[in-house]
Amino acid sequence: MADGREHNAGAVVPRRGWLDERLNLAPLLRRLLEEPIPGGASWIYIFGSVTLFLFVNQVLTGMFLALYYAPAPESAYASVRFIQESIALGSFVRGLHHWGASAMMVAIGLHILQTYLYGAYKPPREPMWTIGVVLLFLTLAFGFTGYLLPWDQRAYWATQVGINMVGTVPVVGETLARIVRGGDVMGALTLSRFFAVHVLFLPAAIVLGIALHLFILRRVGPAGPFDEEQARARREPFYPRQVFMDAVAILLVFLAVVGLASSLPSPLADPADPSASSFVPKPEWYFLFFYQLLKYVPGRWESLATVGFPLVVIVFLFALPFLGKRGRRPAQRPVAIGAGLLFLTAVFFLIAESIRQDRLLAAGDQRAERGKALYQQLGCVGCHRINGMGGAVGPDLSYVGDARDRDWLIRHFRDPQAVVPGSVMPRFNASDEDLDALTAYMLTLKK
Amino acid sequence: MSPEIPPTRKASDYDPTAPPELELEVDATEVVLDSTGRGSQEEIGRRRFFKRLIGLIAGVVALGWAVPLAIYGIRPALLRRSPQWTDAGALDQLGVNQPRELDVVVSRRDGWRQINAVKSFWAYRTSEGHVVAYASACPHLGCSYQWREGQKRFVCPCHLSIFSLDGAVLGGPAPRPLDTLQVRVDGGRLFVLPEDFKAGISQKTSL
Repeated sequence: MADGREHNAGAVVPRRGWLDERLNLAPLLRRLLEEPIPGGASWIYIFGSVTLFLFVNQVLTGMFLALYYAPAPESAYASVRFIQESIALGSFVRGLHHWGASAMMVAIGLHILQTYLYGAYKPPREPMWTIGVVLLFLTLAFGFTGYLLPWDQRAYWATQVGINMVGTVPVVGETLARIVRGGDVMGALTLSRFFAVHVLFLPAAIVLGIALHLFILRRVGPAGPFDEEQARARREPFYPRQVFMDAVAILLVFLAVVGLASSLPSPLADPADPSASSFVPKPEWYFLFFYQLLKYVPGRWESLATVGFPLVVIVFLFALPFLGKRGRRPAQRPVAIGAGLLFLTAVFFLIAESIRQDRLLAAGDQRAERGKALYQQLGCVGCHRINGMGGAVGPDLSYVGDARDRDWLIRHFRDPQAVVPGSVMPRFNASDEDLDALTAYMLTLKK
Repeated sequence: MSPEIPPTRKASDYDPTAPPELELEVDATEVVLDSTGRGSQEEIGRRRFFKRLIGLIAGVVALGWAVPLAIYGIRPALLRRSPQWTDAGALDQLGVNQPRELDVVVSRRDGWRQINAVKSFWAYRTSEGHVVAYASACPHLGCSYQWREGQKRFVCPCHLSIFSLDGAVLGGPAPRPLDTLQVRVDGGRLFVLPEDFKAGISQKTSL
């Protein structure tokens, strides 16, 4: 590659191209590419570029989704299903947008983590951090508004819950909820304002924010390693090695998103049905920890979790660069590092717990289904009655789930006479698994 | 080019007693980079290597976006829909050599919607018992022509094209005979394949 005779065509003495001769681009390009990085290029710095790349992906795929999307309750769901099923590569393009959004959340998370760990928010980079926090909340707003647009059951009910959470804010809650909803009930006005905010208001705001974030970066320069010796020992321009690392990371992320988009269908539930009472709404995974947190808060303290907790996080994030006057090393910042670890542990615990409970619920449903089938197979219905169906020899089981607990039921199934002397109920030689299923079914029989 | 030093602000926690920052000169980047002290020839090769790889990655990502998005954006617009056989009513409503305008309701997809549109066409039975059907648009510029029972002619009121019962042009600007539609009879009922044709040209071409 290092062909001596060719070196005049290399990057050092660039040939002046047609445009360059007219617009004098070389100094601009040099200025852009030769930003010095204290301590040299590193793979740890890729997350900002990856986030920016994923944002561009969202813009591109979003523009194309808008070609076929119609934001009204009568048409939104049908048009998304149309994209998903009838348009060439429609499910792929929607997949790029869906998985790109999740990937962007992950990239932002890692970007913040790196900044936090390295203490890169400390002076003189407070403005960059502040804008970054604003960008984080804009991205979350993108997630919240975009989630409603397919107007399916998940979208409708999760947004219903989200807006009701806004409603729990003391004093101004109801007014705020109305403003978000566009009225007193969710409907056409909610959908059209979520659409407008998602594709017009937020993009305008975030582009401004990104421009500021990058402008500040170029004014103060990247922070580099927290070890000052290391930072001073070496300086390296942004181009070529850091650009190369960013490009490799971007390529890998792109391939991952393409892989997800082409192999996993983006979720689309049944059409939104405001009268359906059985649908259990669940937010997107990046709001899951918050959703789970609410399960532990008793009703009276609800607004403490829905308002207090986000408020504490917001205030903390904005105040962070102004707290603590010591250096950037993690060892010099025990409180910040401790708080960060605590927060991360809590978030991951809540996410894991939410997933575990979901699994249990789903498994419980399955077991109860099996138990219901067993109830018929084993002929229980001959003696017992459930909701008016069955014999009258044994007790009515319509509300047995309220009367008996799991332990009692299993003991009784194993040996009825030991629990209820004189009972005529036969003993079943069923497997533990079958008894478990039967018990699960019994426990669903409640008032 | 004159060396430009980017105005990197010194972070307040930088040690002020530290040696002055390395000056970053345009042509000195290699020197800064090349700590091993090897010649800049190698450095040029290295830079070119990175430049090509970065370009390659940019190209892969750009194509990865452009190709599917272009197909997604353009292909549905180029799809042709095929007409569906449509029930046009009982066969005995048609008289022998007596054209009559019939309406059918055509259900078609409009994006994510299914819509119903009324389409009319002219039809009659020949003395041999065949059914002849014509699209209702004049092949000249698409006006609706009418059957004049007195003259036994089809006449288009817009530009006075005149057609015989068998569709041939007898006068006026029409560039081709009336456009026949495919029909079939099944259980005493008439079925038609309602199609539209390009106006103003001498060849009968489906839209």
